[in-house]
Amino acid sequence: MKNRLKVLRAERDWSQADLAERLKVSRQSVNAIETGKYDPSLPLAFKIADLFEMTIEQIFLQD
Amino acid sequence: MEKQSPKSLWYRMCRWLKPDWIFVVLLTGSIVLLILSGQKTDVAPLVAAPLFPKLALLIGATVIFSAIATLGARLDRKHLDDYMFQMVANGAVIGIITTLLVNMVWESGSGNLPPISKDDLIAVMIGSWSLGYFFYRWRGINP
Repeated sequence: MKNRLKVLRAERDWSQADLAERLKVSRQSVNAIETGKYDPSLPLAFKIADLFEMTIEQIFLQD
Repeated sequence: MEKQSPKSLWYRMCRWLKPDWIFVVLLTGSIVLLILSGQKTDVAPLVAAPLFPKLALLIGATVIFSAIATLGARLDRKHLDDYMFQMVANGAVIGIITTLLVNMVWESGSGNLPPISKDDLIAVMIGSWSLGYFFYRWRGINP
């Protein structure tokens, strides 16, 4: 599954650590999601969507 | 002065205790255990135990320890979304499956293979858990 997390984060000038702190996960988790090594759970996907004020579909894209 | 929350302390401790290093130690430990176990020459004589008490004890211990492990695992639920936790948990599954398969292979070919002790199996379990962790670290969790 592809995602726009890195772009959205860059638009807000947040580091991976900043985003991780906002989502209450580790920086490694953010890095793994951005690089496609890990798909977040549904609650985490909702948390990400809420944070960026977007829908899940606008952030995560089916391959 | 701002009081430090236990959570930030926890996160600092997690940052210090990197799972990579913990699994390097565990992998090394499993190799050492395998070597030490291989050097043991004195094998304790097998004593036939009565079936019923043995079964009752084993079932009782399994139920009790499963319940304790389940309660303990609930404490980790809040870290379920963490990538490192996912790698540790997935690595543990690899460890269990590998141990079962190694034991099965040894049991089925017991005539031709050197005997395997419980120390060997523990070493295999810890070693394969570590290898599973490093495999997921390298490849990622997604298929």
